[in-house]
Amino acid sequence: MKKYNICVIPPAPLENVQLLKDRILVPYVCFKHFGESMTIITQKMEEYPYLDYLPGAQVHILPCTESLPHLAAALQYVEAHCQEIDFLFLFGARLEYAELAVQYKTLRPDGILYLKLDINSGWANALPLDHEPYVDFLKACDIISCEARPLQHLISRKWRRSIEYIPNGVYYPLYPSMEETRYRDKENLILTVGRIGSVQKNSHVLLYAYALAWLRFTVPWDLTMIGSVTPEFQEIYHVFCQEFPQIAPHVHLTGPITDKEQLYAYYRRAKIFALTSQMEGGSPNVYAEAAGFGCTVLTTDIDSAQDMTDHERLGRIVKDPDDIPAYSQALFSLCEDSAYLERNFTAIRDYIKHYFDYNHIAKRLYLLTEAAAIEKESL
Amino acid sequence: MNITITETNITLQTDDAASTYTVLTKPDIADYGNATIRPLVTTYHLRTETIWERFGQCMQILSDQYGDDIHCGCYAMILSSLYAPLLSSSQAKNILFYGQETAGPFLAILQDFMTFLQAESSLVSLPRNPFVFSGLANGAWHGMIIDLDACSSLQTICDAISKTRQGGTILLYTSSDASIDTFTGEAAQLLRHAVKTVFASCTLYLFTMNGELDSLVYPAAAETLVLAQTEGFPAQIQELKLITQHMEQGDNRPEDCLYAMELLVRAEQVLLASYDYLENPGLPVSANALKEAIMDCYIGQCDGINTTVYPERLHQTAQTFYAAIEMEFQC
Repeated sequence: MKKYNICVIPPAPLENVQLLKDRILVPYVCFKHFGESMTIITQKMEEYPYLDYLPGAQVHILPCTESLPHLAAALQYVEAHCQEIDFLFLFGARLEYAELAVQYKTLRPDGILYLKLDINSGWANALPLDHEPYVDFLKACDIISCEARPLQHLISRKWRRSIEYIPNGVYYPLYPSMEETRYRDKENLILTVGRIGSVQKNSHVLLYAYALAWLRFTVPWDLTMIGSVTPEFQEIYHVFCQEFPQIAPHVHLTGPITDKEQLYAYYRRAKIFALTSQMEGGSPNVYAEAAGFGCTVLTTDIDSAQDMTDHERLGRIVKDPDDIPAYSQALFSLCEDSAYLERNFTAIRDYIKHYFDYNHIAKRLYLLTEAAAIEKESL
Repeated sequence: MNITITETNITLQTDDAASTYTVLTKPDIADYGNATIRPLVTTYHLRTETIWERFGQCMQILSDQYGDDIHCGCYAMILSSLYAPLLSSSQAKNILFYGQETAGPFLAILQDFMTFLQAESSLVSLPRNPFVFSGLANGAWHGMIIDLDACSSLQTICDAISKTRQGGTILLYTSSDASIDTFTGEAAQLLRHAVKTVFASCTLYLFTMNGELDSLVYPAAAETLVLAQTEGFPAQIQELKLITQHMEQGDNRPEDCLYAMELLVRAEQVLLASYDYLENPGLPVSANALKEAIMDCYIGQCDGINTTVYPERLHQTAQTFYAAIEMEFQC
């Protein structure tokens, strides 16, 4: 098997939490599977303690200044080190990458350039496809992938090129407790994880849908919302507590949880994972985590909803993200169907294991890389 | 650049007076000033303005808008070349434009002159997408204007030319010598069949559509390429069918997997190239899904995963793909 020197250039200076998200995990599993080395190129924003979870990965800190921002410095790095980069990983369909991508392909026509799009349908529709530097950027990429099937259809038709489907998944070594999770350990707990109160996450829908469902529950269920909370949502929550003093004790806002084991303990306890997002950049990272712990997913109709629920076999989809009664009805139905939740615990974990395991995905990426390399040789 | 309009001539001159180009000489025909009262063109009856006056006015606007622009010469030469074809009959004319957004004011000038001559005439500016021509009917347009600085693909140029009707006018222009330098081989050969006019840094290639030109562009047009590419398609699909059947039965050799992927990469490329002609626009992604199922099946077996999930999915995806291909290509 050919081993590649992998270089990762995030579109913006890397934050510590991003080390355990798809932008780094996907190239990292590629490194574990077919990499000689892996170097993350970034302007330093903070310390990177999560690097301890990624043995073998190296970080090269760019000498950025006010006049030499992150991507300009990254371009200089690529020019100076192109011979050490066999596989360049870029994240996001961003015009800012254009010069860097074209320059890499000029210096290393034999190198593999992989662009993971991290895109949603709204963004895909707004891309400047008639802008020459952007067209050149896309042309320079050997492999382009998106995170949802409907997006693959949309982008493939718009760009008239092959787009691979590479969903955001799970890197099992990071979740030692995932394997030993049992359904009997679970509680009547509905969980959501994200930036609580951000416009995108639409968190108020979950709060009020839960309240409506709570009034009908035959057995008690709690709601836990994990993540930083916006001031606007704090205000909504405050009013909610005054309006529904009986329900309020069942709603828990934990704030952000950085201790991974503590976070995973919530996933292990929860039976239902709830998403109310208006949109997502492909499939949310938290989905595969939750499903890996056997949580049944209730989601709004984001681009990856059909993939996440395997067309509602493994979860439920609410069409309108702002339809609180519909979301409440779906949530209530799930909570009341304990047989389905128990059955689904195994089914969704199997599904994740087969199609969202990053180790499996890395092997697919290796085959795609080899196919791209063969095609280059034949030209 | 300076445009000079007199009673009998319109000329273009570089600022240093090194080059001069005669845009138009007033035709020496009797009562030319009354050309607007051609009997079939009723909409002009209320106008006192003559065609010559209107054309001069258009040139004046062009001068005001683009006097310092490197495209000025190109636009003047285009107006000059279209003058006669636009006046050739009282039939409404339809012209396609494929170029840069900066041509907007020029297009407004051309549209104004066209509708002055014939109210129903239309100028259509196409979006910058090399596939845009494949959706248009062949031989349907009176004229075609293509900015070579915005379109250097031989296939796109040939596609565009093939949309022009017999006797129609095709104008390719560039304001940059660099664009012409990029034309090699067949593209350069095609340009040799045009009437070439050069003014300063601007170059205009003029073709008149006829049988000879049609046969010249036909081999390079998308339709022909698609037909040629799909010629070997049924045989490839049969080959692929055999491999997937073996894989479903658990016979996963690495070389078969890679070869099947290669066939599907090619199939996807052919399907994307012929996208505009497909009855089923989902076919390219179906090919990709089959490639993915093949990879999953192969990886599953290599990893020794004892599951029927991947072979079952491969079977399902393969059946869907082959059925869709059969329906599309009757193979």
